[in-house]
Amino acid sequence: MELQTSILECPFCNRIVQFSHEDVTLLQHDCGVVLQRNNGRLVEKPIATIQHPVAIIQKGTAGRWNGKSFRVTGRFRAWMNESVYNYWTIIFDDSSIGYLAEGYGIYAVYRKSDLTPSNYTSYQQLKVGEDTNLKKDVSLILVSKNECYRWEMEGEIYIPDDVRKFKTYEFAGEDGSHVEAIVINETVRLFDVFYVPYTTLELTNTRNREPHEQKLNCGQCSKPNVVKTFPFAQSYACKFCGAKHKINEEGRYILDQRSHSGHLENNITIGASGIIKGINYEVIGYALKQEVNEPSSEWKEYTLFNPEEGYAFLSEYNGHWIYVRERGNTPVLPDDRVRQFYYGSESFALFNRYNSRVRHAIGEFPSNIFNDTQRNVREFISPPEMWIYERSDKEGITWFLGEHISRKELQAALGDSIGMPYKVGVGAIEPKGFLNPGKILMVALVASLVLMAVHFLTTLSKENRIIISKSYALDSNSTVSFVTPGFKLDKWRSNLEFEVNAPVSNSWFELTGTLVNVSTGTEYNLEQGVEYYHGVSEGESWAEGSSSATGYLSEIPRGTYYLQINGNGEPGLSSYMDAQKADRFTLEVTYDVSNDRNLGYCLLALLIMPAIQFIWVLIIEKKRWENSPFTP
Amino acid sequence: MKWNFFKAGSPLFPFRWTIIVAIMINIMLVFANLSGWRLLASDAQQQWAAKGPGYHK
Repeated sequence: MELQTSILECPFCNRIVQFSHEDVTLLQHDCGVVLQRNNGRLVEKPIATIQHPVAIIQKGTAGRWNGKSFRVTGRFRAWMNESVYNYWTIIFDDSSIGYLAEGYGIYAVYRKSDLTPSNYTSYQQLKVGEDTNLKKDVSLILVSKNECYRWEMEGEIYIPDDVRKFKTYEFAGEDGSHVEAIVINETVRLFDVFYVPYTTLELTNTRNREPHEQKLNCGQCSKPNVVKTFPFAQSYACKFCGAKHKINEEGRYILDQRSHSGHLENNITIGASGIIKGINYEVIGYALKQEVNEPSSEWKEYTLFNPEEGYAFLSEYNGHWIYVRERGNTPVLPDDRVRQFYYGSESFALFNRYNSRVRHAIGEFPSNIFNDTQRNVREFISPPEMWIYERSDKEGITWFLGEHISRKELQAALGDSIGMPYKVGVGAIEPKGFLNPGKILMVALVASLVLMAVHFLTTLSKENRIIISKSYALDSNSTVSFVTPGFKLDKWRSNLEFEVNAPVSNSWFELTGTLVNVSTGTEYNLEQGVEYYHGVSEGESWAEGSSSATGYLSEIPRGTYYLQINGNGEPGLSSYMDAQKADRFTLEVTYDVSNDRNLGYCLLALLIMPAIQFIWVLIIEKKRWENSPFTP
Repeated sequence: MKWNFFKAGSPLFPFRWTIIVAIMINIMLVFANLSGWRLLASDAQQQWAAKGPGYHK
């Protein structure tokens, strides 16, 4: 489809007005007026324009998504219940149009969906967490609903219909898909939503973010405060008295709750900056939060901000730190009873569930944190990560991904601006000692199989060559001596196995063998005894020993050898009843035999470390889960 | 998969020492099997050579 543009004349300044795309219907002209294209004519529209951009993206910014290039033509900035979101109109190289929605560090590409929308009333009746039945084979649940109560624009934008307010409904599917319904004047338009990391967009021709700081006086103590991330900060607390303020529909901060806070004990100076996880952040807020349940645990949360990457948080509890960011691509829970789920290949287990309140705060926050007591929070852990699920029927479902961050990393990033509290116990996602027990077993199993395979391969070439296999009679003194003919042992090194069998009963027989190297004269000596005793004692039979035994000569180098054998049976009469002395014996000497005992010892040695790891993990995990009401 | 298990991002990183020990045990087993060495043997094998240690019975 060719890019269609149309060229018209501004009715006010008479200069050329050119629209970049047939779907672009609203344009802020160079002369400042907002013009709507309607049936080939231009009509002025009393739509607010953005006076302070406060964004790095601008008209003319270029980028890439999914292998396609796009350029930005403009945006409308929507003021929602508890957020301000930019919808940038983007036109791709193939002339298709969409949005790049961004706010709070979340970036998403919107494309018109092929799904058939339902009637708008069905969306109004949906509750958070309910399935919308938009897709037949995949469950798509409602995760958020927002109402845009006002919006303003810059550049050229694609916004269907004449609209002052609109509603959005976001759905998430178990297959990872996201769909958003934008309802304007009872008409539903569906968009497929693709969350993308900022860096993958490869944005060029961006601008420096010029902050639109709000300087205002506290509604309680009248002292001056500055909100740096207006209009995205939805609440702030006075840095002098802690009085809580929220943003209203006119975009002004008003006193929400008075504060009687005392000393705040924040460990990081507000205004400090540093590079955390590769991103340059400024610390803009601090809140002391408390669980609204027993044991009423308290933790500290620091709000961070970066112009491109948006907001993040540092959460500290008992000296353990977690770096937290809101995410778009997230797990989808079918219902509230889930206690474990898989995301990627990792299993996350429910660790904690609570509602919370803010006890003290200073600085600014991306949402109104002072009205969140109805927000149910669930934490699922797979150290060193945590998925934090926050849900309220009014605000919807929000997911945050937490990652363990070490004290060392934070000290390196923030230097003197951070004071480290003492560490107590094991942190919820502290990676110390954590290994998935299933993985330990898998590694042990694989290592064992590899070891057995190595043993099998190295014993495949064993000769098992019989050097001697013969019976010998003992003389009247129960002895025998002889020398074997010479024989060659041809391997670099190997072993000789001596199997001795003598029909003894309550008697013994001993074999002495000397292996002599014909060339060097080196001798290898072996003594192997056979004894077997049995009887009846107090009515019970007993037996010990055996009439056969096996001995070895190991690591015999190659060469020509002969064997000198001496066999000795018990001389004289035995004192045991039913004694039978050996009058002969059988000797079988085999060269180059495999030794399965080596495999056994090696397997034992191999499994020591996984066993120690397993026990260590059990100990550490017990300590970790002491802080959780959901011990697995 | 990151095969350098000594790099922190590798999924095998937590098992790096197990892997090292496993490799050493495998090497020992190969040597023992190829040389006829019986591990942890308490057999009464004695050796005598004209040049070296051991005793002549």
